[in-house]
Amino acid sequence: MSQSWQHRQWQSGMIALAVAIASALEPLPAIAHRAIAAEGTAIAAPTQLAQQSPPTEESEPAPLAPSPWWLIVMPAIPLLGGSFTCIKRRLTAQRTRSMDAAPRGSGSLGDLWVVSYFPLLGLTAVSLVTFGVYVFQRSQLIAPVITDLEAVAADQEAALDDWFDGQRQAVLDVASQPENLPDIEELLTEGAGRSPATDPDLKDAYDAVKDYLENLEAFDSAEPSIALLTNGGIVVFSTTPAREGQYQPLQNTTTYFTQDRDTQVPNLYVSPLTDELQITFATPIFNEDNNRIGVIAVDLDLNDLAQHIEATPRQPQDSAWAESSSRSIYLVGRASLVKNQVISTDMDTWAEFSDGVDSLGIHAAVVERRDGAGLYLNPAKVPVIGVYRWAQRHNLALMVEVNQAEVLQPAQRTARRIFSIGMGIVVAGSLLSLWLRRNTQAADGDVTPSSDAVSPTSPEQQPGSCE
Amino acid sequence: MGCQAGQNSAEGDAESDVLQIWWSEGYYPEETEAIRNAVASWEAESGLDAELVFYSEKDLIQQTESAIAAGNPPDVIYGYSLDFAVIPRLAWEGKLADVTDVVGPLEGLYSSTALESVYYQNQQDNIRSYYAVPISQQTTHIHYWASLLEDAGKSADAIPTDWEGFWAFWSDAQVNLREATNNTNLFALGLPMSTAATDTSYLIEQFLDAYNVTLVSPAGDLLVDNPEVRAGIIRVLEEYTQFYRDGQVPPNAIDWSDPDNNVTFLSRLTLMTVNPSMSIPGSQRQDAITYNEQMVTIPWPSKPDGSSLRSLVSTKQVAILADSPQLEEAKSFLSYLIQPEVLSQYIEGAQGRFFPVMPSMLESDFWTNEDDPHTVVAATQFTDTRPFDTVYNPAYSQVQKDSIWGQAVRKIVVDGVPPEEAADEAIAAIKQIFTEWE
Repeated sequence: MSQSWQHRQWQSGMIALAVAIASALEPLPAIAHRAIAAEGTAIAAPTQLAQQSPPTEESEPAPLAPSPWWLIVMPAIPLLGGSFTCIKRRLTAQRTRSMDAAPRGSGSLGDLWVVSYFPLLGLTAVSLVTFGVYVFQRSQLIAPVITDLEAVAADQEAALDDWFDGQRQAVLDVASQPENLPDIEELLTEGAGRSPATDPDLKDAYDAVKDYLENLEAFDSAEPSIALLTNGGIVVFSTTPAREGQYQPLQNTTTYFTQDRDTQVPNLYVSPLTDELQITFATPIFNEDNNRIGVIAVDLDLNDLAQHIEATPRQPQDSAWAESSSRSIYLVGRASLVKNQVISTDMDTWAEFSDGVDSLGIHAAVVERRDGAGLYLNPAKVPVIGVYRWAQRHNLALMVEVNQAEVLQPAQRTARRIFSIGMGIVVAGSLLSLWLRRNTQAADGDVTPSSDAVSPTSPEQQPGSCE
Repeated sequence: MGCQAGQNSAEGDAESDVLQIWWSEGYYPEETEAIRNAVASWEAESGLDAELVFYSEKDLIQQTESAIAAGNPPDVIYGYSLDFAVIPRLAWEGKLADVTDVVGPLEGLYSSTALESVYYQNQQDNIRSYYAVPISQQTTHIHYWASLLEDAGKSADAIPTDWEGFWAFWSDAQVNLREATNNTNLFALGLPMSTAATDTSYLIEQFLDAYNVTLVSPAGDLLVDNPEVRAGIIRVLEEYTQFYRDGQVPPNAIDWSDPDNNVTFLSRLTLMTVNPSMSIPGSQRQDAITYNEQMVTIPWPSKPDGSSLRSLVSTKQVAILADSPQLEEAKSFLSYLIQPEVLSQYIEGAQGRFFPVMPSMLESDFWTNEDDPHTVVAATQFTDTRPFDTVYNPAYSQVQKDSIWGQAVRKIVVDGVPPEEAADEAIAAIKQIFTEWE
């Protein structure tokens, strides 16, 4: 056996061993998997950001999303390596001499071409098997998760309807049956341009209306900000006193509806006065002569809305949704011509994305106004499995997502184990075949090709002729 | 069945024999009520049915585009910003119905600017024709608070009429006003600096006209390669953004949408504002003291060269989608709507937010009432007008859709990009757009 061939076998064995060790310890770079899922712009999601923080000594490292890329790269390595080897052999005259340099007459495994290429073939086979198993298991894992997410989305769409319908009805009820109509009328007709809170002529009316509106129970758990507006949109009373004297549009940004026309969809906007995301419901107040004397405007409690949406009590405890630690449910709306904004209980984290949020799912729901499901990068650039719904009645998109890494971790684990075990077998087999070959050669006692077994007519064999 | 005002219920795919009308929701109920009345009157007269659906302006654009893409558009669309970007593009792509038979009979009643503004190029059929029906027009108006000016120790008589003096006046007033009220949250100028507000582009283009900068020739040629044009753009961007950089504009103006300068002004947080349309005084018509005594509308100052400013006019227009199954019904509605007495009722009922596009209508009491301190001043601005460059070349609609000027402004005030660089980037973007439209 030529020394160069022997060296080559060792090289192949070492490479295979190194790859097996590396893949067992570390998945391939996350860049590869982000390339797979990155189909749109992305900004962050708070829950995902929290999960992507560096692991502490106590906490388990957050799983990285498994990527199909490494399962493509892995078989490519031996295929490319083997192809290179073959091409090189064909291009050099050493191929024939190196083949002839193989020990003759040994009758051993070393005579077989497959033995020479065993490491590369083994690596290829293991990679392909791993890839196949991963893809299969991945598909088995994703489908039920999407089913669970769709069930969540259906439930929460209904919850969204309930919440908005309740708020709308509460606004209509307050406007149609005000207990302090005379006081309200006095404020609305006399209060503009004055300070009713301190004006002695209006203070009694102001205090009575304040007491009434601050103690309303019509809005259940929500704590909206309620204001009385003149017909010109000037705030004469508000449960947020800083708003008194300010202007609130009666329409366009404000969602204005009446008893007989109450289907106006909510409008999400950012108030230029508070820089806060808002949905404002408004409806007219009529006096006893049925003349509009003003408007009651209610800035909805979006935190309450988010809590309502995020609570999913109807989901089975053994569902993928309930078991997921990375689940995320939030609403997205078009807050201006140029950006989407999120309604979530974690508004502090979303606030850092004041320039807006986007993802494949958000774009599909908010811009294209369609429902769907899929794998994509969420605004955090984290691969998620998501279901999105365009709630047309409420002008909002409902996003229900779980982290891909969490869901596909079993498949990644299985693939990693298969690959590690397979590579171990390949390495062991390579080393064994090398050892057997060497022993066989030693037993034959012919080390150099210039033995009596060489035919006098055969090309002269040179030591070290195996490349 | 009556006017089915399915207010943005977006149950847009209603029965096929009902005319689907998507309309931009007004800033106040009177606007919405005015078009409802017009639609109801048409239904009563024609015996046909309509479903009138209202959207906020930002949602109307999104909803229209997605509905067209989905093959489920309404029959009739109207939005106060659709003439900037959406309608020219739809006409170019052959997606609007030719309405020559609607406009034609009343052509003599319209202003030339209005007719120019709806005479679009249809690139699909390679013809130019009327692809929208003008119903009103707007330009930019200047409003200020007399009470705040008084607090600042200034009088109305002292407001300069020359360009430089005019803008410097408000800067001085801010200083005085803050001292007098001990309120640093008061600003001189309510000027949008955002990409989200179409007002930003509108005002920049009015400033460009003030400096005699012509971007597109009447023949449709782009002139931005002209060094003088480039210099003019730089000057305008520098001047406009300087207001913000000098602290005369609320900091969050970089994120304003179109209604937000209204909100800030009417909340008395800005002393003066410049606003397309008369929506600001229109919202306060019912408050006599505010309307007649406290809020004031004044004309623009003279241009920097001393000549009088031409008003840049945006024609509000209604369009019919070419694939509408209710084409005849849609034309019937629009033909009814633009009858002078009906249109007049609609525009006046909307509190005069927009002005008539038929000069004869401007002679009515509503627009000539000397006791109305706002309308009579604003009406004078329509004596010398020019349309947007979209009229000369529809590619310019993309410039407005992409808010090229809004982006340039924002880059300067937010990112600190020098005006020269921002101008060059804007010019490059405009050239790229025009190339793509060829």
